[in-house]
Amino acid sequence: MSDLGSHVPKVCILSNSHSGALVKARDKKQVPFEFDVYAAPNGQQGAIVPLGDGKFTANNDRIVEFWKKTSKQELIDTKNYQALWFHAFCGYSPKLNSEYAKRRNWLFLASNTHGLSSALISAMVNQVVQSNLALMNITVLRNSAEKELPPILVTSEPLPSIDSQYGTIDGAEWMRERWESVWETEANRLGFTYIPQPAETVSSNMISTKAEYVAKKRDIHHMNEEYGGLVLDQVSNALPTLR
Amino acid sequence: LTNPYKSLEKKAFWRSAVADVNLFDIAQLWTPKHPIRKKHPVATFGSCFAQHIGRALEARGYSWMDTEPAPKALSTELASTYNYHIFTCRTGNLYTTSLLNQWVDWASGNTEAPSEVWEKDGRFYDPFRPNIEPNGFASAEEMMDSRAVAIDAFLMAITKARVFVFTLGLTESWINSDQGYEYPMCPGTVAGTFDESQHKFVNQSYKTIKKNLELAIAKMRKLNPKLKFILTVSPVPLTATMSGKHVLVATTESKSKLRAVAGQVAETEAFVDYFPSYEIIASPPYKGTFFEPNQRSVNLHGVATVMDQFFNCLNAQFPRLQKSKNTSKNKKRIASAKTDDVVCEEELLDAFN
Repeated sequence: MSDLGSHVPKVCILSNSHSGALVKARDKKQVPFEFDVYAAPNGQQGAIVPLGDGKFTANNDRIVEFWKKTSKQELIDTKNYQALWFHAFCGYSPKLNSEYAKRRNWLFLASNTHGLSSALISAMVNQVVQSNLALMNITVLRNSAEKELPPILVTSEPLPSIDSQYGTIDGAEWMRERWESVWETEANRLGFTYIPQPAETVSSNMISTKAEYVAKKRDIHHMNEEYGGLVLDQVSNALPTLR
Repeated sequence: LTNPYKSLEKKAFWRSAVADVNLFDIAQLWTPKHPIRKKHPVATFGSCFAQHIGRALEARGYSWMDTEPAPKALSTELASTYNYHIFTCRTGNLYTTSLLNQWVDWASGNTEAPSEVWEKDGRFYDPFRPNIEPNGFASAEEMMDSRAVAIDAFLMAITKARVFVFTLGLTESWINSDQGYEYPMCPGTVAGTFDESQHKFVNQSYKTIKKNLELAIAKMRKLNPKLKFILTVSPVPLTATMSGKHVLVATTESKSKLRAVAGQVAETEAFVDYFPSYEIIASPPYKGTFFEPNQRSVNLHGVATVMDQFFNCLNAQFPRLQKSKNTSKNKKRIASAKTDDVVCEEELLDAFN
């Protein structure tokens, strides 16, 4: 996105329940861009479907129902936006099981590394990233006939806040590096910008989000507006250089 | 009673049991000694044909053991590539009874697994599971860690199983003559370097095969006194022979020895049974129907016929055993997934209200 000029850019966010943190942050801080959120819970997620003329819908009515509630729109008209932002999609796909759905992100891989070869772990990380809904939808976009799509951005899903349950996991940092590296490779391949979780929100053990960013005490997955604000800052900084 | 044959069942006579019967109707080939309930943990190891037995048990709701499960996120294809879910744990093929005995020794702590590592193009291979990873390991340490996990998983299979199925595959073997241990494949084939002075070919005798099988069984029964065994012989012919004989002749000789050992041990020990998968695939009445065009690989019909015989014979002998599986675990899983969705919906709608 080369020239924003004086115009306030508008961003289309495709997301899930994690968009709550962004919406709450917007209510409390100045954000140099506007955004609409097209969100549905992870369990309801599906693929976007091109309609032509820069418009997209979802492949099931439940998603569209949620879109109406969160964005007041039934379909996405990409011509109205200066960026498409996929936020916090876990790889929720039928291929992956409840273990992944529960822990999300690369973290679940770290729980079972003893005796696994690095080649296997790399193959596994690669496979999980390939199953990620954001990546699948970006592939849909890139394979569609649409030539004038706005730049695409992906932000990662927050690590669950699980310090007390897991402590340190051997190889977690190594695993995280692989996770990020596969995302970077895919970003180069499909032409989008990937932004990892804000570094200051990750615990020193590298496997979880710091407890201070949790939205509710008993919910380890969803983060608060402070976290959302940091992600909005990341995106604000990235907007001028999006590809 | 004019002679003892008069009182025999039809299955005892070639004409009534084989010649006058369609090959798919040949029945009662096995009279199982022991019941296998669906809740009984069953471990499967041995030559590659053993993997069909594990799959069939699992498909029919039996408790096939997977003591070294693949990481849960791995797809079925990728798991197979890395040899998960093939045998009860990642031992790779245990072609000979001596390899079985070797693994039992490692698992029970009688001997330590050797530290030998094969290196090829900067990758490291396990001499005792040379194909376990498609491209070897990144380091010798990684390889040893992986093998240690497999040995632990093998021990768990022995101690937790109710039934241990072992498929005898080969008599031809390669040993390290300095150290006395056996390789599942000739060094220098997948990786490693063949050293004529160190790597010796041994075509095992009936006596050696039987001794190793009996030793392995005795050691396993010491770890798990209730363990029962089902032996099978792989019908898959040799790919190649080092015996100097024609491969067809060498195959017959090998399979004959293995079949005789399996039969003899099953005859002697009450807790050992023999299941005739070899006969179903390889005997003349089946006319090679169950082989692929290469006359070596067993086709899917063959596998299905073998396993149908297995379960039919089991059910005929113990008709009241099969109960439906408790699905409470699955119900719980579905309930948990639904709860997750509800939590996410609440979180989402809360932000937008």
